[in-house]
Amino acid sequence: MLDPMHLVVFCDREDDRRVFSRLQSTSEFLSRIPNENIRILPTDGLLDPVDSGSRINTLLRDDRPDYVFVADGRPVLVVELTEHGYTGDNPLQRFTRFAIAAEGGVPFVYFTPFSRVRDDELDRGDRNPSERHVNTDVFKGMSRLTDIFGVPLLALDWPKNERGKPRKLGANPSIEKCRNILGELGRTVEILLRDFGDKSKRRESILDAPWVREQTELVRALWTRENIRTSAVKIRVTRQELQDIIEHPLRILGSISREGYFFKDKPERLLLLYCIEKARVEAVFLPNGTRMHREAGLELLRQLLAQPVFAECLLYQTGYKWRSDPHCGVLVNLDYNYCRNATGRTTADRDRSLVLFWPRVFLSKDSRAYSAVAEAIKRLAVTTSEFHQLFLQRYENEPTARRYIAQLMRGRGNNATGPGKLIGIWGNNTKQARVFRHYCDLVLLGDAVLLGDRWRGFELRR
Amino acid sequence: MPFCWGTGGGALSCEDEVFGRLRAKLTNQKNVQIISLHPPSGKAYETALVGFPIFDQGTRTRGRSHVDTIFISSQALFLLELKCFSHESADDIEKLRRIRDQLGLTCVIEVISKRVPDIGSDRLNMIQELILGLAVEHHDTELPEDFIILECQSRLTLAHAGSRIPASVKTFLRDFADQVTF
Repeated sequence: MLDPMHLVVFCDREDDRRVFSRLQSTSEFLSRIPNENIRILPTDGLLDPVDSGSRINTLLRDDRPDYVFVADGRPVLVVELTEHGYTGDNPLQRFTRFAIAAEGGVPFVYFTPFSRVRDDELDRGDRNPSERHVNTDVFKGMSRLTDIFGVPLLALDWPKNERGKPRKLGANPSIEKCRNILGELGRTVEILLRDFGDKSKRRESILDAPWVREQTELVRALWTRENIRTSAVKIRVTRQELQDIIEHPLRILGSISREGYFFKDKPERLLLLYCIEKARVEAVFLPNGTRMHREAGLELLRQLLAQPVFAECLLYQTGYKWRSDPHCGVLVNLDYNYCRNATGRTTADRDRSLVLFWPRVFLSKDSRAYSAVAEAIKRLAVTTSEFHQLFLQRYENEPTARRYIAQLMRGRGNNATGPGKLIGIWGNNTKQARVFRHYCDLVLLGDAVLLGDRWRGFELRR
Repeated sequence: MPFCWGTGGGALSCEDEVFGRLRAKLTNQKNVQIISLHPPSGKAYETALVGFPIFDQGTRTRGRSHVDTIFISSQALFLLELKCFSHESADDIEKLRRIRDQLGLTCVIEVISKRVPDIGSDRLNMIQELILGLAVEHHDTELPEDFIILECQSRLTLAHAGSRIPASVKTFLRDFADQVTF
């Protein structure tokens, strides 16, 4: 049995430490963890490896969980809290943390509302705002990670208030209120640490324990119901279709249609379409950083695509600008749910390949594609410009087109924005670059193709 | 001990410090009801994060403005933004004024009542004044006449009030702060 006096808890932020003190009030075991052992992770870096921080640093490689519990220098539990959680990509954005914990053999607990109302529906005053269920791909991915790595990933429902929003502790909560909201989480964390912490420390499986098995089955039950809506941008393509898209990016319209997708919803989709229209592979980059010119690079890609794993590909088109969330988590979730084989512990153990298509991001500002899109954004107000005409095609009249052009240029807030905010340049030393290079077979940008890390040395083997 | 830890601690940013001091001050006030404390990290697990709609030429946009700290005292509703220096707060001042001018007190209360059902409608109906403010570590600019500024230093809280701030709010600030400058 693990001694709480010897546990160290790393919290992501001061706010997490405060919530942890509330969690302690729900559990006698957790309350015995000494205050000096409840620490905050460095805000701008990793723990000192000399102090045995390296084992924890592995968990922080690409993302920072809310809590990492450590016993004798070894992580024994990761806990993640989020009050967000409804449909779409939002609940998937943290999935990289789930995967990294499981890959490291560390049990994981996810505390989130399984369903909740949307804030915008509440704000609009809808009489009966309906609760939206969390995208079940989250729970399916958790079960897949459990099966592959033999560690429990458990999910707990954050209690809600009468309006369907997650209940809040408030600034000065009573112990009773803490128990009502955090009690189940406290009990689960206590059991995982007290009864199984020693085994987790030794990286021994705890899945055979009846209580753990029961909890993992509860997660499995959460994804037996299919999502109501499916995604239009996660598509299965054949080897030949992928090759066509690489060499002629507009061929993506054969799978994601202009009217059915790009001419719907936000005006950003028109920008995405325009980026695809201008996209052209100018270079292919190998995992070691070697740049190949277009023709030699495309020839290498033809040989790569002949590999069995490319017989079927899952292509994820992301329309986001240069940022890490939520699409890093979405992609990692796609990998585990739809690409890895039943025992696939590494990215080489896949039944189908995983390809990211990110047309709003470019490798170089000097590329023809980037220059064309940047110039088009600058000239968007000019009625006769090609990009403006695309808005006219979709919105059918000038005043409406101008309104949505203004919305695109303004972004989500009220701040004016320019080309640099709407399209991006790939930066290798970023979380998104590390995640995509690690988990993808290929990354297709607006002007280049990057081979994923798993293909390191392929150019020598062919 | 088989294992030794290094420092392993995260240094708090200036805004974090301001937030922590303001939070401590507010939670110790009997006559203050906290509605929202939104820390610089963006993690609002303790209290609701309240987002106010943004209008553009009368049309509601997809955007929402979030406010760092919202509380009630007596008949006044306070909306505060946090920064290290007041000279960094030009955008915050513009944002808070936009919320006040576009929505007005009634609509602001309506948004809050939907997001924070714990605050009873009776309590919200008592509110007569909407007070805009900044909480900073250093006040180093001219004071806007329609704003209060709470200077949250390590040992002292100083309150400044613009010329258009009602007397009742100044009375509250005298109790709340260690020093006042009005």
